[in-house]
Amino acid sequence: MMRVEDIAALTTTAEGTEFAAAPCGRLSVVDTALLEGIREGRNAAFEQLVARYQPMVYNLLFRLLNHPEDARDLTQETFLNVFRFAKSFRGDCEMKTWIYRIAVNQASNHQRWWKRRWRRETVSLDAVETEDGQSLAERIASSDLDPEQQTLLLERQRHLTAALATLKFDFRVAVVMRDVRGLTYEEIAEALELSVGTVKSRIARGREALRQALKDRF
Amino acid sequence: MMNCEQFTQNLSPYVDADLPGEHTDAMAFHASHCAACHAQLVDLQTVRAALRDLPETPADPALSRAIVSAMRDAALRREREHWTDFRWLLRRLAVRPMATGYGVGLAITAMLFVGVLVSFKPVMRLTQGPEYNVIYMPVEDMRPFVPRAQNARPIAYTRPTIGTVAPGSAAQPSALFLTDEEGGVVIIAEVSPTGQARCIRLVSPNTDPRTAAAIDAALQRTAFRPARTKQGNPIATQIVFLVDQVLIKG
Repeated sequence: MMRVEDIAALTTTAEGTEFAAAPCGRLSVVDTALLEGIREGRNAAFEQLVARYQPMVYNLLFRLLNHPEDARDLTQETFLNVFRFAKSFRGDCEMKTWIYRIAVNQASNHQRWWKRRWRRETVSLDAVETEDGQSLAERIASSDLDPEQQTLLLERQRHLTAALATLKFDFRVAVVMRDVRGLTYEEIAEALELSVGTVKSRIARGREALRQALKDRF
Repeated sequence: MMNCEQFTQNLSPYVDADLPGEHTDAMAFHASHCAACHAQLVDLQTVRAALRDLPETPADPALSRAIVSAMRDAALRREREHWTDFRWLLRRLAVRPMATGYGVGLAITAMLFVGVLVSFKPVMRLTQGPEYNVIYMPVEDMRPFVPRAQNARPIAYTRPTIGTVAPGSAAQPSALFLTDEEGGVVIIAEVSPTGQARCIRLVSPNTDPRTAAAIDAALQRTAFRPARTKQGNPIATQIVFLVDQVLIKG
């Protein structure tokens, strides 16, 4: 959550004069101030933007690509694109949705790039290693579950991650945004610039594919 | 009554609670009476729960620092490139097409106007320099007036008749010249600092030798006042003057 002093930092120029941050399109006052700061190239705005949205972007990309290094690289690229395109963003959707759109486009381009180079989409269990250096197994082991439950949960999540990685990219995006990130149909439709009907269809087909892949394992 | 195919089709919106009330009831009723469809429902709910429970990676300070640093670099780069890249100007112009159109139209009009002014050559232009007077005339046909003028005897200064040409008055015809030569005759002469003059050229498309000889004789009887510097010192000068009418006696 952004604090009052954070907003003040964003609305203060280098000369110390403040400008009025009128809401832009569908953006909140806070996001409008943040966007203005990014357009002006202010360091405080960059820091606030990254602090607010970096986990969201990284986790989305990590689930879409199933590769921590690629997710890190594309997270950085996503934020650079936010800076590059901030001037042309008219606030016709929420900042979060707009950033999701950029991130998904990055992942899509990355996916195509790998496909052109005939990289097989292998599913590595090591890929579930998390950002803090812990593997998924280590993270589960450090939780309050008993060893048997931990093993079962770990096994489930490995199977789920593997099944997710085999989904067609469009279905994977829709399922991850809905069931992992918890976005509404409308938010997904805006982020992907699709109709709500298409989003529902992709989610349903993605879920069905996952269900089929996991029905004997869960 | 809902069948299994319809149940499968509506399964995804059902678990999202996105179906209208009557459909939701029909789905629940079907699931409670069909073991296979109930199993499908349970499977899907399990998958959804597992997806929701996937661990979330917290914010990574090192990654955040790297991103902020990259953004700062990009901002500095853009600042540097701003003044060497004219695309920003084109983008700004593209935002206001009407104003841009007016501006371009005005610029073209101004250029055309300046072009016309520059290419316009007046029939006669007088330019007064600091120490001399020059009459400039665009002349197509220039021919030597009197070849022997090169060796002509200098005319002594006796009385100021024509003098150096003042702006606006190209010539003062002598009383000796009264003729209806069409278009007049342009005479180019040289006046020494001592007031001695000699003819150099005669310019006229219709001048016949008889007229030329008469003008030459008249000029030899005409005295010129030499040009002077600002300090009052006489200097050599060339004069050009137009004679409208020449009367040839005899």
